[in-house]
Amino acid sequence: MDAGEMQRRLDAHPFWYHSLDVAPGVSTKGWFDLRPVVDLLPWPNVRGKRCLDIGTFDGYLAFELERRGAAEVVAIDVEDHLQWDWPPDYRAADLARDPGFSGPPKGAGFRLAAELMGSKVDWRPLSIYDLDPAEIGTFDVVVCGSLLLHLRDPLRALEAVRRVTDGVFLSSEQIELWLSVFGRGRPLFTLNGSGGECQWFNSNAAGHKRMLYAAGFEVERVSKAYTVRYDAHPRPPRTPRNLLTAVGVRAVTGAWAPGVLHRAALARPRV
Amino acid sequence: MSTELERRVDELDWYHTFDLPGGIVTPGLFDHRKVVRRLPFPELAGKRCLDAASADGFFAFEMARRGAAEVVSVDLSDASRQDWQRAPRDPEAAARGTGRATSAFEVVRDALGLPVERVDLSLYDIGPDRLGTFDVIFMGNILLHLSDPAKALHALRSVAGEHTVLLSYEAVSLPMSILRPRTPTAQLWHQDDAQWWTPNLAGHRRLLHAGGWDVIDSGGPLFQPFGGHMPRWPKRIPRRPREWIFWTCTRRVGGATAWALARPAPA
Repeated sequence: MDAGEMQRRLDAHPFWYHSLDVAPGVSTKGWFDLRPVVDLLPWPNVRGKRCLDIGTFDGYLAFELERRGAAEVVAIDVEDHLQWDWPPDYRAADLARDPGFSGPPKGAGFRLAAELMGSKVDWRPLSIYDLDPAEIGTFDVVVCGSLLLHLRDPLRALEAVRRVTDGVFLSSEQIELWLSVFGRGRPLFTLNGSGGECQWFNSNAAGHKRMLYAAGFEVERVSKAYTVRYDAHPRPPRTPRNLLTAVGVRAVTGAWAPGVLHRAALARPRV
Repeated sequence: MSTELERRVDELDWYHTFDLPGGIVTPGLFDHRKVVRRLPFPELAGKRCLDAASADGFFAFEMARRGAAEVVSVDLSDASRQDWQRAPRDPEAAARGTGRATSAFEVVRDALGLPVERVDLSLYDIGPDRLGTFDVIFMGNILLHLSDPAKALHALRSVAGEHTVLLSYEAVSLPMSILRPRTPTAQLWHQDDAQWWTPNLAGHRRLLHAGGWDVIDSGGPLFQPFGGHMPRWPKRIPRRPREWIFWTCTRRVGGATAWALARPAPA
């Protein structure tokens, strides 16, 4: 299949979450682009290891694990968005209407990208809450990106992650800028639990570390703050508040880039 | 008779402060006797009431005293099943405190002679099959001890009818309430390992909303004084600023709390 045909097939897919390089000159235009920041994550050595990517969506981190030489990569996701942890005030709404997330099952983009890339990643329909070493086994490296804020019970989810983590867990999560700056060292969270963004606990940097600790992990190292960039994602309005936040993000990350502030931690089970 | 009661009171560690017959006052960790007058209990006469996570049962007996037709007091007796941030690996340590609250509850029930039913159940497991439905639900100082507060609120919603009123009374973070008056905020871990999500005032309301309840009125901060179980002065001179604040301010006036009245949100 030539590059033009591959690009046409990718473009025909109605919604991409991740911006992926599928082949030289062939890529998807997703909501979020991790490509410029992926090397800022505190990657462990994955060569020859058994790896898991949780909440993979279009599979960016799973493909990255494969690219880095993992022996086996399992990627899990909840394909039906009606099964996500929706806040009660939004669960009552007509979720099928949701413009961003309706359309094909969430695994369809992954399957198309994997086919075109010739990837061997093993995709399974599984929720983070249901990770069970008796069924899926244990892993040398587990990664999870930008998922905890979408969970009603992130602590129970992290405990399930711990049970399948033999080696290390790389957790990359969205963090709150101002709570991290002014609440330095205090595990603070903005509570959401309402509306269509399906967000519950938005943590600051210390809160992300504390959640990992409370679920039985010891944090070994953390990355600097970085921005997961918007690609096709609608841009936030240019309000004074958003501009001030952009200046703050520039100050902590050193980059002018519209996107979502993140930090990653590499952790190991301590219990 | 009162000496027998005195003996039973002395044998126990108390969480709540009760006025018992014969002028006996139980030395609880907290003393709600004054603050309870400032809570907006709905009219209870003839109502079926639930006190969720009741501990020694102060608010359950308060509802019975106010004329509730029936009061059910729910708490989890087995301490090893409680949510702790660092579950002790030693099973004996994990089970410490098992049955204490139930014994305290029974002493008070015998002494006051009020008809309150005690059910040993985790808040997460509350459901209509076991308990039926209630007209009034009270829940005090419990959400902060749960790793998944929204799940507990969903469970409570399952024992609520269309016209049920929930009165939620919770410890809140005073600094976060002042610094972020409108933004729902919570702190994970605060003071000790039994505390998970300590919200600010807006966070308390948002938690109820996220658990499937519509908040109709709210208030606070109120201050919840400590009782006789908490020493009046520290054993040594405090070193950290946080300890100074605790012993000079918090110990004197009590910890910050908030209340909210809510109804089940239409499903």
